[in-house]
Amino acid sequence: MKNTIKVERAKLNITQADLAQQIQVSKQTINSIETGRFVPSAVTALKIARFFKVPVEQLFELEPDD
Amino acid sequence: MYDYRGKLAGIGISAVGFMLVLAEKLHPFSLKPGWTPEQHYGFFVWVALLGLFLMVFSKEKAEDERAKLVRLKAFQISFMVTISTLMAFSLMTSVTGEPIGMDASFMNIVPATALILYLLVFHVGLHFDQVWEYEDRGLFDNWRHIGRNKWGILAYLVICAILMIILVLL
Repeated sequence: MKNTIKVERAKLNITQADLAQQIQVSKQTINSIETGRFVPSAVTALKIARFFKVPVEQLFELEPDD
Repeated sequence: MYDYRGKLAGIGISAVGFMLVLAEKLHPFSLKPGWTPEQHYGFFVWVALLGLFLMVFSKEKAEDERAKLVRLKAFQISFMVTISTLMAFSLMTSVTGEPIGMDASFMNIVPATALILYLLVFHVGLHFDQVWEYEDRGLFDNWRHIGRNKWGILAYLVICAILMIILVLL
């Protein structure tokens, strides 16, 4: 699953640690999600989308092998 | 489960336990009159295992969904290895027909295997970002991830080598 978290972070000029603190997860978890290694739960995905004020389907996109 | 302070307490207790084990091995001493060095040694090993137990059953400071997933995988692996160890001992006893000595040192092997393996898998998985911890796709499909996990594999090898050296020295 692809995502645009890095782009959204760059727009707000915040670090992975800042986002992690807002979502209440660890920095490694944000890094894993951002690099596509870990697929977050619906709750975490919705929290991230709400933080960036974008629809969740704009932030996360399914890939053909998903 | 305990909160993350349980982990700190566990680290302290196991460190004290391991230092006493080492001290007892190098220079046998007596804390309780009437106890043999072997009894002291067995008790100190038990203290070290108690510390490891506290560490295993304590949460991380940031216990999020990824930590829970890695924890689950670590529990699965350590459970399977522990059961395999017991089955190996059971087979040996059945085939040879000779009962294995169930002394304290043997009884410590099973929990020690489970606790140390769990801690190893969990912490390397959590801090070295193991792809295979998240994607349960079977052994062969995971080979392609080895390149992406080189630091994690290196950490496993280094920690295992240190543990082996400690075990050989003891």
